[in-house]
Amino acid sequence: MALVTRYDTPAGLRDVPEGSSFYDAWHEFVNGKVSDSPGSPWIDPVLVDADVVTVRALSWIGFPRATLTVDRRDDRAQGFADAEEAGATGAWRPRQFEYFEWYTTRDATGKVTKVAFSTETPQYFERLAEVDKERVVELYREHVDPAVQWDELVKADGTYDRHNRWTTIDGIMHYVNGINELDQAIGLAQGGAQATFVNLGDPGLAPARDNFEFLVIGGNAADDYIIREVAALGRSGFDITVHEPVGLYIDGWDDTGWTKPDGSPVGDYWRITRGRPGAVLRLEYEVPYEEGFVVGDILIGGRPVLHGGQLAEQMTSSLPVVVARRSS
Amino acid sequence: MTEPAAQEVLERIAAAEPELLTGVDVGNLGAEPAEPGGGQTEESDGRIEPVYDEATRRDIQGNIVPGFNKDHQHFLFLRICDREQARRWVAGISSSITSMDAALGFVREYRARRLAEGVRAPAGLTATWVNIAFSHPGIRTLAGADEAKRFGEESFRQGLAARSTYLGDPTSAEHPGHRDNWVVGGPDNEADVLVVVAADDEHDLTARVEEIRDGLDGLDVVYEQCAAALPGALTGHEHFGFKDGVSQPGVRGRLSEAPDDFLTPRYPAAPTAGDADKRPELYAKPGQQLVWPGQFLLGEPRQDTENLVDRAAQPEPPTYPEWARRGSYLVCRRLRQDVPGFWNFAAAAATRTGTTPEHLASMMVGRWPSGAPLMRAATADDPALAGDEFANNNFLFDDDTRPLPLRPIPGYPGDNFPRAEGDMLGTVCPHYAHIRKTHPRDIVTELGKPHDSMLRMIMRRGIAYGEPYLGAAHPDPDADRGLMFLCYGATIEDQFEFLTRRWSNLPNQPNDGGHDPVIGQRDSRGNRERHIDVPGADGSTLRITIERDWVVPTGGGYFFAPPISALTTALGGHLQPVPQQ
Repeated sequence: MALVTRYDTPAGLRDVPEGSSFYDAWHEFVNGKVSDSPGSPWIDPVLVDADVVTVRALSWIGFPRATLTVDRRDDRAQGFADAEEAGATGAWRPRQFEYFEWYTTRDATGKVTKVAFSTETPQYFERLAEVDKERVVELYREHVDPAVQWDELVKADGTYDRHNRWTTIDGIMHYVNGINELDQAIGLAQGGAQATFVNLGDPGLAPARDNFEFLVIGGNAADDYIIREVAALGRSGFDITVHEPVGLYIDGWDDTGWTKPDGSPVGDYWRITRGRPGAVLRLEYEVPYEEGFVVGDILIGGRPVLHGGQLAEQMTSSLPVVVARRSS
Repeated sequence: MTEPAAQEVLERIAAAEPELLTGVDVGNLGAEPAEPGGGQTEESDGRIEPVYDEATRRDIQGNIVPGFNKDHQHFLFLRICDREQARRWVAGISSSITSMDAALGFVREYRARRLAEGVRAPAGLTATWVNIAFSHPGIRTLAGADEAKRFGEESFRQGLAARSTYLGDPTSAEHPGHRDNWVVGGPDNEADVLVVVAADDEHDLTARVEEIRDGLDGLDVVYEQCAAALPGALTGHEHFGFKDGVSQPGVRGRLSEAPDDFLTPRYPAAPTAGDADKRPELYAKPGQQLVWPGQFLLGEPRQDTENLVDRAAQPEPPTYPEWARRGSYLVCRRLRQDVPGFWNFAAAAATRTGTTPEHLASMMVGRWPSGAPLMRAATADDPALAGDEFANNNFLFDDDTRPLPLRPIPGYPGDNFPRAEGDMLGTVCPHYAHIRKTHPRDIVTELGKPHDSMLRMIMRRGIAYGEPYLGAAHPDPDADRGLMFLCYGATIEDQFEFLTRRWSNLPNQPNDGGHDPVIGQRDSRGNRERHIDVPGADGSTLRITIERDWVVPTGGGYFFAPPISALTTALGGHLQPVPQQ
């Protein structure tokens, strides 16, 4: 039987009541991309019958690889600062291109007090705003700032502005880096499937036989990971498709070796504020007031937290896929 | 004590005889020009490898490259008590430090005879060697604070004790593995200097250590550790019984301008015209990836981040003082091993998963006790495969491993063992297997391409310490035995620490499937529970929890092994008077 009959929202979010046309619009959006099949081993799970072999979380580092490994290979501290640099309008958080973005809140002295991480897409909020702008304002007020007003979230023509101030310079609600889009991530997986029978670097050559032969996709981790892993699954004889609910998720965070000012291990200060365990879309890190210190007082491996990127380095995001075999 | 099922396995491992290659002539390979058409492909500008001439080789410490790997070693952890005396002592010992040049000639002859004679240790070939390394406080004391500050490696500046819990070590002072309880390297007993003495003969070692100890001036012994390879057929195995150190990176570089005079001998045949197979440029021998020397020696050409075979520039500006060029960071971890604990777990888990204790334990390691990789010997150990250095490391994890044509090697019968088949789901060599997590080869990791994994490689130089458990008639299960883990690298954070924290200690990296059950450490707010997802024959997995620590850190330190010339300049000899203004 087919693996999917209808695409749900990421993590199965219910931001508007069941029955809303929003869910139809979201299904159409995801279906339009997933069904754009490059051919075997990619499966359109709505149309193709398949047996699930396993679910595999394609999982990569949250902090931008190019900054960590290439640009600032010899100056990690500067890399953390670079990753939080603002770009020009339309190029917000320009280095945070691992389908993983964060916003760092500081106190008056510049000390880090909170870091919010998100793997939500502007595409989701644009569609949500089309059917329920009040709900969009509520979400911003709940997760970013109680003072948010609708007219601060829209462009001159009244439509939702994915680069509004509350998800760029004054907070984060969703991705704003231009390459962080759900359909692009799905497209990478489809490209990986295509690479099992086409050499993506030179169609005149034979396809890569292993990951050493595979062409380099780019400087970031996510693109290389998704394409290579799917291609390798294809070479191994598996069929591949998306895993429901389709989404990009925060799938790992490691606070071992982080210490309070007194040297003892930190408490569990993580809060999942969008999504759910196993399908986390928004994660916040903030020390409870009663602890008497803030994030900037924490030491990671003996080093003070000066940037949110130091936390992002200890985190991973993922695109879960289904490894399957077509039903005979 | 070990349970009966585990004890039976241990007795079998202790009695197993290795099968070694014999009659193989590698005497001229790697030192003489190749046959026409053989050897390496032409080097482009980005691939011209540095020449390590004799003068340069004599300045690099020999345990970095090619490595001591001797059966008897002694580690002297020293504390500086008088700066000027210590500087004189350092200068004095400089002439005794074994260089790459000295070690390389010996190691090549040793290997050639071993392969020709079919023995593990050729008769009559012995040497006693010494190397030295300094902690950051030690350098500060000897060379001054300004010089010490020029080391950009932050983990080195912090030291192992400060990084301990970041590596997953116990956070509770009640735990024997907590840094406060270490025999050396804890907050109150860190060493400034580490002297490594190594010998083929135990008596030679003892004599050399006594000589060094008696000659100490301005330094006190904080701790010393004697170490020795396990006896008999278990030589080269660690205490759990598994062959150790099978896979090491091959260091790029030449010894001269002669066409095939490489630091690491190379055996792949040159590709035929039009062949798209680039593996001859990637491997020194099957499975041994070539890595640029700057990954192990400061200031040398480094591995490129985007290209498997190209070199990358040195740090600019340098992240080290000029006198430190061609030195290497040395990580030392004294790891106590609980042999009954490891094998009793394997026996119990084997019962739950319907396999044998030996297979279950081999899945934890990724190799059988002999060293034969599961990827090429899925169901039973294969000592002949283990003994073939051209085959025992020749495997990928994700894709089928294609044969790699070799240059003619006189006497070598060829790799006729079963080929490794792609194992993306980790059903043969599980995702949690130690060798799969710490050396993922072709696997895509959270950093993307396998190119990044080449930046993580380390040069391992470990050796067992303590009385053997395997093969002993009445072993003390609680005896202090384990591994003196040593590794060299051009960074600590991006190599040793990365491997430990991200791949060994995380259950979902590089692939989801559990923690590294051999060296993985994990301490989340005092909870040290780990797990492995053991694959079953039907494709399912069974999660098994690990509650016991059978590898416990008990000491060590972060050090820097300088070039030998620095021992008589920056770090040793008479202090130069500071010019008066």
